[in-house]
Amino acid sequence: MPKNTVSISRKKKPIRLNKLAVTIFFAIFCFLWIFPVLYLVNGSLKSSLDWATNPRSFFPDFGYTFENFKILFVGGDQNGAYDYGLDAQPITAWILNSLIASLIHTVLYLVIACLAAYAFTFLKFKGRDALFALLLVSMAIPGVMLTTPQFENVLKLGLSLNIWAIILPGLGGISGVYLIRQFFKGVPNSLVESAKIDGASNFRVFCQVVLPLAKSVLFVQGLFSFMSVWNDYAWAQIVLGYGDKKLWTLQLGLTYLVDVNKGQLGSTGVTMAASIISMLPVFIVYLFAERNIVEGVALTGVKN
Amino acid sequence: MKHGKEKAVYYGKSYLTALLFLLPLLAMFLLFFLIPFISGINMSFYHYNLADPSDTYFVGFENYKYFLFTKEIPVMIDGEPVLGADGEPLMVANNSFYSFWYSLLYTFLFALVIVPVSIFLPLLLASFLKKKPWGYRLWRSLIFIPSIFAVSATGTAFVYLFSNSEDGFINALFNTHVEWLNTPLTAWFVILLLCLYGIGANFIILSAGLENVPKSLYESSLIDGCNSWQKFLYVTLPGIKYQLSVCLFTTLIGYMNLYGQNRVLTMGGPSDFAHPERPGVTHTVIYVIQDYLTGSGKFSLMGRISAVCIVFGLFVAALSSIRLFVDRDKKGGNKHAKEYREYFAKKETHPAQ
Repeated sequence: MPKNTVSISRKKKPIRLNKLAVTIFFAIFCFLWIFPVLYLVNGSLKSSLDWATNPRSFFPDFGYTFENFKILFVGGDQNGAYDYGLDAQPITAWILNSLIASLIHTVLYLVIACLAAYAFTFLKFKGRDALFALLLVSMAIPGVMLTTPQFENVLKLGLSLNIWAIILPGLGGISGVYLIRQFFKGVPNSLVESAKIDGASNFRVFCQVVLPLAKSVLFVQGLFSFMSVWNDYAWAQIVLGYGDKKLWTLQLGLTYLVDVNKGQLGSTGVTMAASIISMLPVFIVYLFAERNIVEGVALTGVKN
Repeated sequence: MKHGKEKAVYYGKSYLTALLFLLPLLAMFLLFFLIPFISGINMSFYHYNLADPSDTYFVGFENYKYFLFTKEIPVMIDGEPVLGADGEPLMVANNSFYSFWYSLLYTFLFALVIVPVSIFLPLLLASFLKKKPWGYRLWRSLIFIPSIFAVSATGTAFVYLFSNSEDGFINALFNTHVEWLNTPLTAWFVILLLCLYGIGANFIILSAGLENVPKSLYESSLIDGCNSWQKFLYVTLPGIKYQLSVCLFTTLIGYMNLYGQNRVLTMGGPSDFAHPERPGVTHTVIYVIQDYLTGSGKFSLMGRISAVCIVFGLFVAALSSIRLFVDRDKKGGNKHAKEYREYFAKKETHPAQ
């Protein structure tokens, strides 16, 4: 031991230097890394006049403005020189569709998955582990095998071009149950047992003992569920893409904007503004629950 | 007898409670996983018309043959094959055949590049972060954050950064005129960059893994005189073996399903002009499937599309099953002894169990 401390204290100086070098590395790397996002924020605040006349410079010539966000919601100035046909995009409907679908999906999935995870962790019944193992096997089956029959499924349920078509199919997922169960396992069994001895029903134990202790997993799984609907493009394109624009989600609308505006420099800022709007909700959730989310993501890589 | 009855009552009651807790999940699982899974396999053996049920009939393996082996198909006009000058039916290249095989090839080749990169880059960053630089929580957040954004949103930035026009940001910066998204190699390069935006989860997982490698092991390796490479090879790597396998397989499966990045950046293009029967060079298998499922003839082609989905699904499942071999625990005598000791230690502290 003494020998060890000596060697460490001798190395103290290089460690400090190391720390400085690594900090500088991260400062440079993270600037480059986050630059595309900065570019979006900056670009969304440049006026269409700026984009059309001076696309090559990073900073605006005519100052920052919220004009692009205004154009998105209320349409461009019909008589202005820089109206790029962006008058009639129903972006409010896109945002509402996305928000409603993501929130309903998140709440429903959290309820379903927490109830199931409670049963798989704290209830003892014959065949419990076998059933859980069976469900886990389903996680190995690639989602692509379900695409066509799932499409048939939602059509048969009468959900053609309906917002529920993007809310429901994800509710049968097992990965969230697995994650929540990992967390529940960390709740001391003795707490649950003693609450039961005191005469609490399973449902009360679930609500008043287990859930309050597992708050952070609710944040994590909540964000994952929210993202799975909010950020989804492929499935929404299949079930909503062939319908009226008003039925679309924000990601469908955003990709559409990218496609139609690709050749038009003046509307670059408007497209960027739309993508900023799509980033905001997940960003806000992340800001509030950073610690929990990082912890939860790390947990997905822990062997049970 | 009495004993048995009590037991039955006990089980009966606990089954009822468990069922109540599990019912919502099991119902959803049945409705949105098990039933579609089985009906998908069934569908792939039919000419399946969703819009017109009377147009649905059993075709055996025809759908599979059509995509996997049929290189040429006859030219049809009004349901009749067109005959050539020699009385034989005129044949054209079957685009579906080429779409499937070439998109599979592109998907696979791209995975060969992106998978190692999305393990090594986060591993490198995580090992730097382990040195606890000032502001490490900020750096961690900045590296992680882009991975929670929608690909279409971050993709927008890349569309304009790597714009084909000479006024695009990168072209303007270096005073070049590279058609980034219109040239096969650079298009894939930009897709790769956008994919790297998704390494956040790998980074966090590997970071946590590195933190959990016991410090005592590093200290003893120091005493044994290991250099830093040996330390990495014999202490760090075995210590994060499980995390590496999690990252490797989630990344591999993830990029087998590559779709959003190439959709928003290149729309599957540029076209392969030398080989018009082949798909655009950034087509992935999911891109082809999405093309069919959003195309005009989708309702009548359900059977064929199911066949592609199942073939590709089996391919991905085969890849992910390799994990079973990677993660298996080799149990030597020592490990058994350790488990035995742990079992007894547990029994002593919790006599009830």
